[in-house]
Amino acid sequence: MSEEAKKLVEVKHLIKHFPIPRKITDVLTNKPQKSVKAVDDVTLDIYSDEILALVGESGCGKSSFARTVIRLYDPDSGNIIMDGKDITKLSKRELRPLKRNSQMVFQDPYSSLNPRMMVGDMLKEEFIYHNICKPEEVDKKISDILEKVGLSQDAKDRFPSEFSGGQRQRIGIARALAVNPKLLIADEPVSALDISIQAQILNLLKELQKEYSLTILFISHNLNVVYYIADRVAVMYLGKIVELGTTNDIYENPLHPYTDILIKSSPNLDPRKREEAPAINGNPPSPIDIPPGCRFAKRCPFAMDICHKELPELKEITPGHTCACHKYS
Amino acid sequence: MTEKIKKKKNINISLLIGIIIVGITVILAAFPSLFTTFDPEAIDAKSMLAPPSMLHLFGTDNYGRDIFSRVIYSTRIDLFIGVGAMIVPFFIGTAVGIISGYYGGKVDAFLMRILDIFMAFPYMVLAIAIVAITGAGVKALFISMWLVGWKEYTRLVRSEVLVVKNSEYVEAAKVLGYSDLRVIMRSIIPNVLSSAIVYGASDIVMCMMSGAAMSYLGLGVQAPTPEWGAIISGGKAFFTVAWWITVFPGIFLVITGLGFSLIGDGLSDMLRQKGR
Amino acid sequence: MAKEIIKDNDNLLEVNNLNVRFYSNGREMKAVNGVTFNIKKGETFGFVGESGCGKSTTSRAVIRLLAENAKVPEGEILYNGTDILKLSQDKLRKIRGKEIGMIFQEPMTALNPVLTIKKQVYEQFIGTSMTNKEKEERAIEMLRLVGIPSPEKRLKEYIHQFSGGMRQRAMIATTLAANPKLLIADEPTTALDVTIQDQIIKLINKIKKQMGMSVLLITHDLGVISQMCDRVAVMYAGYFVETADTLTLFAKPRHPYTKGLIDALPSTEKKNSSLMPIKGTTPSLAELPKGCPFGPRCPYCEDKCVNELPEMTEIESGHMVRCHFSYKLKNASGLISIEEGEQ
Repeated sequence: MSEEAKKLVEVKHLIKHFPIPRKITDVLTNKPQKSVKAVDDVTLDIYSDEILALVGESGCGKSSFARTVIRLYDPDSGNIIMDGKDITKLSKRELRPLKRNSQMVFQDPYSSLNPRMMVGDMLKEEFIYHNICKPEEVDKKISDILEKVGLSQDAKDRFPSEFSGGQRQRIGIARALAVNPKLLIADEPVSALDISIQAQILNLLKELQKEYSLTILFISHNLNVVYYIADRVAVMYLGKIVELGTTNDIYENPLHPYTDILIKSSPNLDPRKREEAPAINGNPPSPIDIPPGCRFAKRCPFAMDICHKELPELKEITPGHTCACHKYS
Repeated sequence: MTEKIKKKKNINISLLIGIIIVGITVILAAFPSLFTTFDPEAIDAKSMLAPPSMLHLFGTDNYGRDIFSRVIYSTRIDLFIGVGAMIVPFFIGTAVGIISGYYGGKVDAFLMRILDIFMAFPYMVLAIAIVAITGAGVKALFISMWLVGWKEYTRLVRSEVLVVKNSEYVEAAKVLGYSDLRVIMRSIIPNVLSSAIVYGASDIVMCMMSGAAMSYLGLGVQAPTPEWGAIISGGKAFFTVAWWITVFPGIFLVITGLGFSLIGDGLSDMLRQKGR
Repeated sequence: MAKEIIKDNDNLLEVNNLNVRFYSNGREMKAVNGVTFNIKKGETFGFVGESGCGKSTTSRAVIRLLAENAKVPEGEILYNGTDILKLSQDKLRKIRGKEIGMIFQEPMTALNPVLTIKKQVYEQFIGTSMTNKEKEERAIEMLRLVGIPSPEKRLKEYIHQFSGGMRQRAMIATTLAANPKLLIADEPTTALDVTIQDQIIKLINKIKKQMGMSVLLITHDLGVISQMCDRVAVMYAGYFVETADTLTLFAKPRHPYTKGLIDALPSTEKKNSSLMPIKGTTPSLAELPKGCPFGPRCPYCEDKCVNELPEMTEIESGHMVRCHFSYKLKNASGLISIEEGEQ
C-alpha cells in the first residue's frame, strides 16, 4: 500500500466498552461498574480499494470494532472519519443518507435474511428507500444484481428458506452491494460454509471487489482464508491491534509473538509436520479485568519485566509494518 | 452436522376440521331462524320442562322455551363475545410487546411494571368490581376481559421480539439506514406475529368460556337473552329432573371451543413449517 | 466389497457394508450407503466430508445412537468380533461408554449442567467395584491427564464454571474415565478458537498414545485430519469415495471430489494460486442420482458415470477409490508433494 493511497476510513482512538449489568447488591455496596473492553483505543486506516483483514480469536473485539465503525453501536470515544467526513457524532437521522456508503455481509447465512421477505422485495425496498433508481428501472436493477452475485433470475420470487447456505450468502452479498457502498464489511462471511462453497464465495468477493472498486474490511478467525483474500492484515488481541502489515509481511515475517503463535496454531496441512506440544497453553484472559502492561504478557514466551508494567505502543518497525511489542524498543 | 430433512407439505387435518366446525357455527350464528321453528324467548306454559322429542329436539326449560332454538340463537352472542373479547387485547398486547421488546431499557421496565400490576390482579375480582360500576351486561364483560387479556400477548410477543431484534437480518436493516418504524413493520412484526395468532385462536375459546362463566354467575349476559352460559345457569336448579337444559348448551360450547382450538393447533403447525 | 477387506486380528472395529436410511413423511433418505472400513488398535481413523455427507450418522450408527426414524437395513458392525447391531440393550449398554466413548462438538450440551464434574466422572464407574477413595483418585488423575489445573478443586465445579477450552477438556476427562478402547470424536474442535483447537488436537493425540486407544474422528476440516489421523475416509452423499493413509490422501488424491476439496481449500501452503471451487451443490439424500453421486458436479463426468455407480476399488495397497476414471488423476498434484518411495 503506497503512502499516497487514499484513506477511505480513518479510525482514531476508538473506544467501545460494554457495561455489565450490576447486581442490586453491587449497586448497594457501591462496587465499581465493570465493563467488557471490546474495543480499547484502536487507531486504524482503511485505504480505498484494499481488502483489509481483521483477525483474532473470539472475544478479541473484531466484530465490535466493525459494528462500531458502521455505527450499529455508538462509540464511547474516538473518531470515525468516513470519506473525509467525521461521522462519530452524527445523529441517527443525519446518518441515514450516509448509511448506504458502508454495508455489511454477515456470518450466518440462515439468520441474516428475513425469513418472511422474498428476495426481490428485499432488494426493491433498498432501491426505492435510497433512491438508487427510478421505480420503472427497479426490475432491471434487481436482475442485474442477481446476475452479478451468480443467482438465477427466479430467485427474486422466492423466500430465503428455499436456498442453500451458499446461495443465501450470495443473497446477503447482493443486499449489501445493491446500494453501491464504498465500504463493505464482511464479518466471517465464509466461516459457516462448507469448503467447496466457501471457495465460491471467496472468489465472488474478490471479483466484486475488483469490479466495483470496493474497499473491504474482512473479519475472520481463519488465517488460511485471510491469506488468500487480504491485501493487508491487522491482528487483534483483547480489544487492541497488536500488529498490522501487508499480508506477506504478516505471514512471512510476523513480528508480534501472538501473530507468530496464531499462525503456528493453525493446523498444518502436511501430516508429516506434526508437533507434540501446542503452540501456546492457556486461554486468553477475560476482557473485563485486563491487567496493566501488555495484554499478551501473561501468555507470551518472551515476556520481560516491562511487559507486565507498561503497555507497548504500536510502532512502525519496517515501512508499512507496525507492531505493539516491547521486543522492538 | 445434521442431515437436513425437508418436510413435505401435507394438508393439515386439525386445521381443516377446525375450520369446518367454526364455519358451521358461523352459519348458525348468521342465520339462526333458518334452523329453528320456535322463538327462543317465547314462553309456553303448556310444555314446561318437556323432555327432548320430535317437536322440541332438545326439550324445553321451566318456562316452556325451546332449548334447541335458544342454543342456536346463543351462537351469535357467544361468538361475538369470544371474538370481541380476544381481538382488542390481541392488538393492544401485541403493540405493547413490540414497543417494550424493541426499545428495551426504561420503556421496557416501565411497561413491564404495568404488566406486573395487571398480572397480580385476580380476574374475577376485577370483573366483579367493573360490574359494580357499570352494572352487569355485555359491556362489563368486554371491559373486564380487555383489561386482563392483553398481558399474555405482550409477554409472548415481547419474548419473540427480544430474539428477533438481535438477529442479523434486523442488523442488516439498520445498516441500510431504515427507520425504526420500517424495521418494526417489515422485519420484526412478520416474524413475531405467528405465536400471537396461534395463541389468539385458543384465546377465543378461553374468552367464550369465561364469557359463559360470567353469565352463569349472573354477571354477563342477562335473561332472557339466550346465551349458553346463562342457559346452563338457568337449568342448574332442574338438573335432576331436566338434564337437557344444561347438557345441550354445554355440548355446543365444548364443540365450538374444540373448533377454535383445532384451528389454533393447525395454524401453529403450519406457521412453524413455513418459518423453517 | 466386504471381500476386499483382509481379516486382520488387529482390528478393533470392523464395519461391513453399513447402510442407514431415514424415513420422514413417507420419503426415504439414503444417509449411509455401503460403508466398509476397519479401525486397528491404537489407530486414528478419520471421516472427512461436508455437512450432510453422513459422517456423523455413520459414527452414531456404530454405537446405535440413531434417531427413531432411522433404520439399518443392512450391515455388520463388529467390535472385537461381536456384532453391535445384534446385541441386546443390556449388552449394548456395557459397550457404550465403557468400551466405546464419545465426545462432541459442544460440551455444554453433552455434559449435564446440574451435576458436578465429579458426579459425572463417577457415573462412569457404575458397575465397578471401586471404593470411593479409588474413584476420587481416578477422577483427579483423569482431570490432571487432560491438563486441568488444580483438579481437586475443579472436580467439585459445574460445567458452566469452566472456560471454552477447559469445558472440552472436562468432557474428554469424563469420557475417558471409563478407559474406553475406542473414542469417537465428533467435530471435537470445531467450536474452538485456533489456539485452543491446537491444544485439544495435541491433547487427544497424547492421550491416545498413553492409553493405547483407537480414535474415530469426524470433521469437516482437512487441517485437523492432517494433524490427527493415520488413515482417512472421504465421504460424499453417504458414500465413501476415497480411503487412504493421510499422507497419500493429501499428496496423491485420486477421487475428483477429494481433489476438488483440496483445490478449494485456502491455505498458506499454496502461494499465489487461486481457489478452484466445486461447482453446484450436494445432492439431496432422498434423490441420489442413479450413477456416481458426485457425477453432476464432476469435471470428468462421462455417460458411464451417469448410469453406473462405481465400486470402491483398491488402486494401490490401502488406497481405495470409488471412481470409474480414477486413472485420470494418476499424475494430479495434491496439496503437498512427496518424494518417490517416501511413505
